[in-house]
Amino acid sequence: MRAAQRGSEAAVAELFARHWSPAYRAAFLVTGDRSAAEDIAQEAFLAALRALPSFDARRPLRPWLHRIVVNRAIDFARARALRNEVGADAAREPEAPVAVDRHAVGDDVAAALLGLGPEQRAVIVLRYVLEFTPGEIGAILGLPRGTVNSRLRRGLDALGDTIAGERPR
Amino acid sequence: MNDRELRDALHDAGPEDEAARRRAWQVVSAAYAEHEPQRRRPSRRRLLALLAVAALVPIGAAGGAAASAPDSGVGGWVRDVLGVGERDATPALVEVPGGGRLLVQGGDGPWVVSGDGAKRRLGDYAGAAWSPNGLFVVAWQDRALTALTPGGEVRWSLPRPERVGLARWSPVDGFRVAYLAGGELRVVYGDGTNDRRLAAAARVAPAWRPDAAHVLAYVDARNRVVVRAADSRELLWRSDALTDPVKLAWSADGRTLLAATRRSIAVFDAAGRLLYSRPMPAASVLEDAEPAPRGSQVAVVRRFAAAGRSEVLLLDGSRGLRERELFTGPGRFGSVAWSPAGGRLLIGWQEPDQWLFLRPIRPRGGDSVASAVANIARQFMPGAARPAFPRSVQWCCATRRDP
Repeated sequence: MRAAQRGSEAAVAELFARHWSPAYRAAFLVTGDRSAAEDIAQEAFLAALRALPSFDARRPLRPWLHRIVVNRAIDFARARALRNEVGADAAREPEAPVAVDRHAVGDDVAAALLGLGPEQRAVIVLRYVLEFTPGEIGAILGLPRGTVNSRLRRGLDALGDTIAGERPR
Repeated sequence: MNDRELRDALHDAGPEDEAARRRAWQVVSAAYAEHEPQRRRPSRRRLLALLAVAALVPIGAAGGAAASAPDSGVGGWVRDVLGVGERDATPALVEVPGGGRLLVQGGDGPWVVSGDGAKRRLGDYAGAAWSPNGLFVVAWQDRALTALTPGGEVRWSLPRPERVGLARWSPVDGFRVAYLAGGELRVVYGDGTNDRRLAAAARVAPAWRPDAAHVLAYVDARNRVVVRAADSRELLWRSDALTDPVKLAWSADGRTLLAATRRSIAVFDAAGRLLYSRPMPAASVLEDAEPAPRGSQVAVVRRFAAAGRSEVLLLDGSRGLRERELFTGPGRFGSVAWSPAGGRLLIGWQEPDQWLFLRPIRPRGGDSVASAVANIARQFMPGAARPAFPRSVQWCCATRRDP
């Protein structure tokens, strides 16, 4: 981080190589949309570059970067749902499901994940893909640890139900 | 499926898109090439030389510079050379001083900031306001009013044929939401039902009296202040017309109503009698006014455009609006927000791109600035080439007293 702050492009390349794949994968698993995932991950890196001069190099970049990625991904997924919700006649319809690039997901678990709400998806991705602790997830999403744990539990239950229901008996 | 299997499945999930990685690296490396590495701080001798040059610059030039955007070269020059802004500002908002949460109107939508500084953008909304206990937020965009949790979960959405805005949630019980739609003031129940027209209104945010009686002050289409019982529609009182009204706000005890225009402040009692009126000094305009959450003080932000400076004052509502200057500086201050317990004032300062947290009572021999945070615009518009400074802040619901 300090080398990047001093102007080393090699250091930036190393930061990019280390963090791009998890950032892109996390954004994809929350949004279910390849283009949005690319935009969100790219935007997070640009935000990191802009913050370089003032960034405290003693602090880890990873949670800071993934906070941007995951919150932007939640915003994207929610905005898409909201656009469906406040349509022309705007009855109080249940939230329309997010359109999912299921073909690209490639397996049951990830496809089932995209059936959850964006906040639940984000918690599961932060825990099981990015491997943050519930306390760290709480800090990233601005939630109490108990809420993180309950969302994890409910999300895992819902995932289990979906996968069990879709498997041939 | 156990945790380990889930972890393995998700690690293998999702595309490995090499083209996306390549495109992103091109963009990131190009941006880094344009990025300027950290500069060394200028030596004291060089700084003194620069200040000597700066002293020769006419005030008008400094005023013009002060009006530039926070990230512009001129704005940066003002900050670096003339010392605009707090030197000891922290580079990022890592906590809300004294606690509570902020609702920030950023350049591309409202954000909720929790006490530990964690920020969440609520979505593509033009504006938003807290519910009385901060359990919900009412937000608006184009032709829809939406209630959502601070976590962003939508609870209800109310479409209208007209553009909507400036919604305010009723205090204490949270059972009503008043908002503007076209040229009308409307009131809807807190659960999104029973939406109805109350009156024709000017484009000034309505203000609920701070009790559970659902009494609402608004500016009517003829620029008169009107106070009406929202449920029965009973007219309680109406003022003479004001010129260019911009803000209505009740005192904490609900006994007085402040009506601010660009050029003056008026205070009415509960029966609509004018208690005080104070014009702004010549060549100044009022930017914002906000009564303290307890007591009789009113914080006022006013700007002297020709002189290129702004100031924050405290007016004492119990002493004929006697004024006390709290902070003054070059450039433009935005809106003002009191902390929930009244121990801090948050002021947005556009030129140095900072938020200042001021003490309403300056310690003996001390500074009115309790703390400052820099790089505000980009924190609420990350990714934008020219991030806009947040328009306003609402401070909600501390769980403890301000220190």
